[in-house]
Amino acid sequence: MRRSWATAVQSIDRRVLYALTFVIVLLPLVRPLGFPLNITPNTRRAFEIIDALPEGSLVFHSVGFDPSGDAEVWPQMQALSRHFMSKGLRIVYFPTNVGGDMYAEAIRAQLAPKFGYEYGRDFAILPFKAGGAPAIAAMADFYSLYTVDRDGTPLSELPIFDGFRGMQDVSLITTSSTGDDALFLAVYLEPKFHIPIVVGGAATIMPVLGPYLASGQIKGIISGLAGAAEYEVLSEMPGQAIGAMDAQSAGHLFIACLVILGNVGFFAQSRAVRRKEGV
Amino acid sequence: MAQSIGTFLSGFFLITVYSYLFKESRLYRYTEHIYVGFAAAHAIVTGWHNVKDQALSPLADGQWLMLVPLCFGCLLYAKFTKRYSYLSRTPLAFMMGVAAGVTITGAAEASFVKQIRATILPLNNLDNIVMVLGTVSTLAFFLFIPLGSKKAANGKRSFMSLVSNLGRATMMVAFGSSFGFVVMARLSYLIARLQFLFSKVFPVISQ
Repeated sequence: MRRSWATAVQSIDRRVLYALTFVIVLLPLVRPLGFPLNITPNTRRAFEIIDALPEGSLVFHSVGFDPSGDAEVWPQMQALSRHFMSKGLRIVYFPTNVGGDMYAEAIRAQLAPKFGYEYGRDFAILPFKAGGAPAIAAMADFYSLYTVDRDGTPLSELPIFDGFRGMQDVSLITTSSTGDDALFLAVYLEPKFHIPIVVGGAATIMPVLGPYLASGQIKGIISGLAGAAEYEVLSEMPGQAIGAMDAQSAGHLFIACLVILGNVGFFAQSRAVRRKEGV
Repeated sequence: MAQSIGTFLSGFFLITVYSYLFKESRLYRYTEHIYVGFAAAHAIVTGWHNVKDQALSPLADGQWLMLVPLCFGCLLYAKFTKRYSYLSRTPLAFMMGVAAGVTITGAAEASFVKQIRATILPLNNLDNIVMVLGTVSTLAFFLFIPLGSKKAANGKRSFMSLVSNLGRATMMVAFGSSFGFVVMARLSYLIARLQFLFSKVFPVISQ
């Protein structure tokens, strides 16, 4: 029996769809298409808040991801760190994921030397603390949670902590996370210390954070790989995210076309069935 | 040399995992088992380091208080024996008590009051109107479902039914937005893997 086009578009073999997705995402990587990149207000706000910080301000940056999420979040962390370092901000990385400290270490090995950043004076890495929400809540009493850095050096021996009393001395908290770091920070630290929070994270957690952005508990959001690319454009320091944006846009276009095609097929089929039944 | 072997293996496993999209094969299952084995080994090593760095080392330095969490940690394993499983309740109760105590403080204000306050807005622009109508109608959908499903006396749909439908539409828009973000995230993962595959394993694209 001959199938109608409406039925056919709803039952395309998934292997064909996967193969097409691969090709459509791969082609722009080989030959960039030059799609325009619009800067979203959320990323712009995040950039402006960080850009307005005076030199020497202390920024705490949570590293809450591991290799399963680094495709989106690692480019963000690099873009943020490049911006911090180009502005001369002091940075304290605090891993909230057990795999997070290796990314902080990568910043120490790859990025810090390029900007002449010295460990202990300009930036530091704290050890991972298990616990999620209680661990972040415990940061309110900073020295009861952290006494040494990741290398086991007492914080009192690191110049970056000279005169540091606790979270009240932090100018900004940023995140690179696939988890709920931003939520915990907004709930447990922001009300006590009124520290502005700028969130970088996986695109999937962004709908959850929308209400916190609307209420002002979070000041800016950098969302997924697209957010990282926007941030690279704003900070005028291109990285790996910009190179992937054509592929991202082409993939989105393809999936949007499939969604439309599937819906058109569905409604056309429903209409044909109704007509057949004489309704 | 070691890096080249690592890159090659990584590329090989990547292709075998993606081969599942075409058909489940022996190679895919082989990779799956290796992955699970590596993940379990990694979790054990990481867990051991956590215990060592956060409890055993401080204990060796004379912080005797660390005996308390260590003992509590050991008691959790009592769950595996029928006779002593009741012992695991004490550390569990302690953990839940601490988590509740720490997290409830301030959570009501930050997660509840401030969120409500953020929706009490003057209706002087489209954004605010959408926000208020969307919030109210979604709440109405859940709180007044029985009213929303009733028809008015004249057979027409009631006002609550309209509000309820608006709430449902608002939720659909929110779910659609979430789906969009999920697509965006999954495409990013695919792009990163393709960038790796075609720049390191088969150098076709430049990074």
